Amino acid sequence: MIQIASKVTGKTLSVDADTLEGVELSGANLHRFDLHGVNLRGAHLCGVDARNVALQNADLRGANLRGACLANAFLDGARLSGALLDGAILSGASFVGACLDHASLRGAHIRVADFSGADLAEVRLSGATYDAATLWPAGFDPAAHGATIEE
Amino acid sequence: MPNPCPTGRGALGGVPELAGDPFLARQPAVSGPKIDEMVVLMVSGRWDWTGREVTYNGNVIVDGHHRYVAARLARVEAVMVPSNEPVARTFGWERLFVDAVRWPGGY
Repeated sequence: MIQIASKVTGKTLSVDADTLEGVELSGANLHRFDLHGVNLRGAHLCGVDARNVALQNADLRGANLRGACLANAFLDGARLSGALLDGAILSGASFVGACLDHASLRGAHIRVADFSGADLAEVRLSGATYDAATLWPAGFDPAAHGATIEE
Repeated sequence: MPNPCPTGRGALGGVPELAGDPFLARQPAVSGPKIDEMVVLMVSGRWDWTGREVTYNGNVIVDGHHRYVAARLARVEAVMVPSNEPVARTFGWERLFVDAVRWPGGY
């Protein structure tokens, strides 16, 4: 049994597993939870409410975050290679130095997000929208990957 | 009647209720529709601060950014409690992005 706790509310979430790798947490409320450095590889996190969640340096390779709300989330240094973030809300999220190669962000809502220094090789952004305040890695053209800028 | 939240209109720098506000935010974005809903509840007297206190550390809002902004817009006094939670980054209201999308979760 693993228990994780919210930093602010103190609420805990109990997971009947020995590891969070591949865990099924779709739809869970992870608002302000501290999951930095946690192994969530291949986790099922569809539609999670992960606003302000701390996921720095977490392993989210291949995780399914479709429709998740990651507003103001901290994902600096996280490994998201091949992760699915289709339709996710990424407003204010920080991905500084994160690995998002081969990730799918199709239809994602991206506003004032920070992808500085992130690896976005082969990332899929078709249908995603972003604003002028979003920071991309040097030389990266989101439009060339299918994203559309909106004011 | 207070000014409505400028949903999706970007930063809150032009909102008179937040001009000269002594607090800073520690997150870069808020959801405009959530704030709008809270303003309606606060103005109508149907808002209960029990369990919804705004927490702050020094001059930085730690938790309850939507509640704090809504209270300012509704011109009601926010119930605030101090917190020791560390603050890594801060944003003035003029930089806070107001998202047009309704984020999940309650108040």
